[in-house]
Amino acid sequence: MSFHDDLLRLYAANRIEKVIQGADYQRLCREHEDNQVFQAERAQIERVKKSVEEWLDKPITQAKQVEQALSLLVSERHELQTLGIYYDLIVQGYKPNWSPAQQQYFDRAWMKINLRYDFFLSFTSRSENVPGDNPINSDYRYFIQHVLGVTEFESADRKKTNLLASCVYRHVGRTPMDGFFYVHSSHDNSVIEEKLAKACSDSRVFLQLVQNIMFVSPQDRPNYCFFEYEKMNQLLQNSPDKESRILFVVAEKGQKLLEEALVPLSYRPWRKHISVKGAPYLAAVDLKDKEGRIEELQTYLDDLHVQVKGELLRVTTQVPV
Amino acid sequence: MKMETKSSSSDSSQIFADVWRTLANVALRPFIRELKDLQSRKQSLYRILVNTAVVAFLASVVGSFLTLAVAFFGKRFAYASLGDSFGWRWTVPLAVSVSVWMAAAQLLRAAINLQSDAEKQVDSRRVDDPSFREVEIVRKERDRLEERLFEANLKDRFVVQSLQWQGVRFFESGVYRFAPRVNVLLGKNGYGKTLLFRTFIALLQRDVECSGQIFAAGPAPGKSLSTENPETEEAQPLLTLEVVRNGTTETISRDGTYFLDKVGKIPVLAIPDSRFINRSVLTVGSSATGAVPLARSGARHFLSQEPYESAIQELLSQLCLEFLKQSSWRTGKGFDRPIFRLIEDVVQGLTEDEEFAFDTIRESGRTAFEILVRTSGNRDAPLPIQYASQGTLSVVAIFGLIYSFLRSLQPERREDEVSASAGIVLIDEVDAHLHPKWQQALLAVLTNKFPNVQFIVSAHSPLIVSGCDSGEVSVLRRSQKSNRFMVKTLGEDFLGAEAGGLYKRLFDIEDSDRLYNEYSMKATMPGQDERERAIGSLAQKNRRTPQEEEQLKQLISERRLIGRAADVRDNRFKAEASRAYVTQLEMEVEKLKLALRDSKSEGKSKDVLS
Repeated sequence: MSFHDDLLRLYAANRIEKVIQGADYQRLCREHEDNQVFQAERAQIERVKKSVEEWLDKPITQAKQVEQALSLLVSERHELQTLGIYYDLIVQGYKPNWSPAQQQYFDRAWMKINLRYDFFLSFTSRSENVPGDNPINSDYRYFIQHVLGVTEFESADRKKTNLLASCVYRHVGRTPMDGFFYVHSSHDNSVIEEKLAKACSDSRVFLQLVQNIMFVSPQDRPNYCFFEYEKMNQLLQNSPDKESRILFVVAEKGQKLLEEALVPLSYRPWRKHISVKGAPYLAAVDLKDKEGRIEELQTYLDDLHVQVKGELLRVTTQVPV
Repeated sequence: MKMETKSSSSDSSQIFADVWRTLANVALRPFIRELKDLQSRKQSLYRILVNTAVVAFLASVVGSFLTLAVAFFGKRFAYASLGDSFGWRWTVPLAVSVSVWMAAAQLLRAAINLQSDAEKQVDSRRVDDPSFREVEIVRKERDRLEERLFEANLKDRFVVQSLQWQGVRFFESGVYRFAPRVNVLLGKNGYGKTLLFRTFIALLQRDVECSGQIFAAGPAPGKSLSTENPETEEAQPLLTLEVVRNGTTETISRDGTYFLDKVGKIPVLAIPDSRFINRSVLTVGSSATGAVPLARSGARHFLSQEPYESAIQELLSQLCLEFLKQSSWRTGKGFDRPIFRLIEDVVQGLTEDEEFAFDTIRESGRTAFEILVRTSGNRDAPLPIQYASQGTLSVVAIFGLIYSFLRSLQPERREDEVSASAGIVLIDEVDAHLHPKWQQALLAVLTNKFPNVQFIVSAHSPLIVSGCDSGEVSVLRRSQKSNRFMVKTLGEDFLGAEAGGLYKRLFDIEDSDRLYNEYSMKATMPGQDERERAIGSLAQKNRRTPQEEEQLKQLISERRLIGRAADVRDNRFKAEASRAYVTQLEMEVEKLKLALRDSKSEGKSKDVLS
């Protein structure tokens, strides 16, 4: 057993003031008195333990303690260096006191918290064969400039990219959210599906920026948006929270989805799912009432941010009593 | 005994091999001229033919011997022992063995000839092959093509969009997305900032060797990375750099072998971390290497890891030449040029010394010059520029080099418009030698003076990010799961960010304080009372030996540090408690917001149902 494990065991078993008085702790410190790695580990574990105590060592019910433990893990989930220490201290020090149902709930919730991405942004850079910019970039020009800045808008390849997707990513993915945003055109095609599938299974929420062009099968390559939707749909098939984990937002100037009859048969359940969910439409932003529209779009995206965050927060609030 | 047996058996096999080889020589000599050639051939077909020929040769010799014996010693003997059929019984095997011997030898000769011919043909084909014969021509053609592409690229505007990698050492497969103006990459020492930057620059500069080092199995040159798991990822090695040329995306990519695109070399200025100037030499000489425009050589030092001093000396030399161009240089009025004004402006702004100015450039010997500057501290006695602080020299170098680089991209542009040119500039450890106040201001000054340059910088100091927008700051982190590094671009902006918070947020700096780690641990260990007693008894002594004096000093120092560490530990505990409290409240607020949203949307759906 390494000194890291020994320190974790000691700090998990008791409150800090009691740990440092214990014979085991004193012996361990004496053994590693001149070891700088040990000293750093000890300081780090002690700091984390202090934080754990502040969250969990209160006169609260067991259910509330589980909720606090999960909330703590949620707030520290991006701290790659210390997240494991938080988890170990909770699992060794507190989890054994919880009821079996609470323990099971904690394990399931941890799997959800420990996913690498808070959301997966699915979008397309395809557009109808029209000269000039990708229409999505011209339709939402002022919103894009508002979110990304004029320099980024001016310097981007507006024909091939979907800058509205970048705006959605930046807005929904603002701290503390972290999303997966994959620019299709720039990757090695042979591994795209593998990467997308992995990212889907590593994401808590699937958010798709829907455009009618998505329902048209591309000639030369797979329809990645459909692939992503199918993958996530499959992954969440038996999950009770499936509907809150699949979100759509529609970006069409005409504010209308393609008629079902015009959509290929295999895509119809996907299209139906979007309309059944009542996905919000992002209104195009032209000069007329520019400010009002920008504000409206921001409200929609703020709401998506809350929904994505909500998916994480909900795991902390439904602990069995 | 065993050894003797072994050596005797090997001796006999050696003798057998020698005898066999001699027999082969005798049997094949009439048919094959060069037996040496035969010995070098190890193929089984050759071995079978040689052995067959030797066996058949031996049978022929024995058969001939018997035939001759019969002829000489008389019929009686032969008839008596062998009977009437002697004639055909002996001549047939003899004829067969002679035929086999000759056939095997002939076959062997034919096989050797055939193979020699084939080898000659292959050799002649290879000589005729354009890739062999005209390799020099092809290489020259490729260089000419590269040169044409580069010439074209000099006229275009490039913005880097993203760098993606897979199947490389040290890093998880990932992507680094670039913002169009400023990109700051932060990371601890040994986290691979320079390796990532060298790969990026090598891709832009089409340097096959350098860009492939991230794939290689051996340790990377330069700084070693502190990882315990340096093996390459299993994915196919691939680097992809997406650039936008005049508004159109183009992709530079290379696999484990070579580049897969025809974008060509893109001009870039890459300033390495070491920007020292030898301050013991106060004169500026003309360049030893000759002035290669920075548009071409702007990344050379960074990629080849040559000392950068020669580039800075070259810049200073250029400054002297600029000064000389003014007809009135001897009167000291030659500083009214954009590059001098730029440097003066920047140094005045950063140092808050409004009197900083170039004073004069004077000859020193036949070929060297001295650049003299004035500051508020020496307004009456100008000093050589080398006397300025390392930070000032670093700033002079950075701004002067960027200006020269932009000028070399578009030499036809008016001097006062050069700063508005577009370009890509990388600065490794931009914060090196700079005062924290300068670190906070530097990026703002750079983007203000060069508004169309895309900056990519690395830094150790989080102060550099002050004022950066969302998507402009990335941090190199190590994943606990894979023990590999990854780039995380931060979604937040850093407007009005404060130093303490930045350190904690970006570097987890608290936990790496060595003294704190050591003495905070000692503060939790017993022995404080013993130390106090020891200090007391030593302090009470009227006369102390030198050893006792030293021991007393050590004990007092330890007591002080333990006391300080204990105080810091208490404060940190209090800060941790406050942080926990605030985070809990924030989460409660978020949960309430979510509950409110949920109840609203539930209300909406109820409305719809009703």
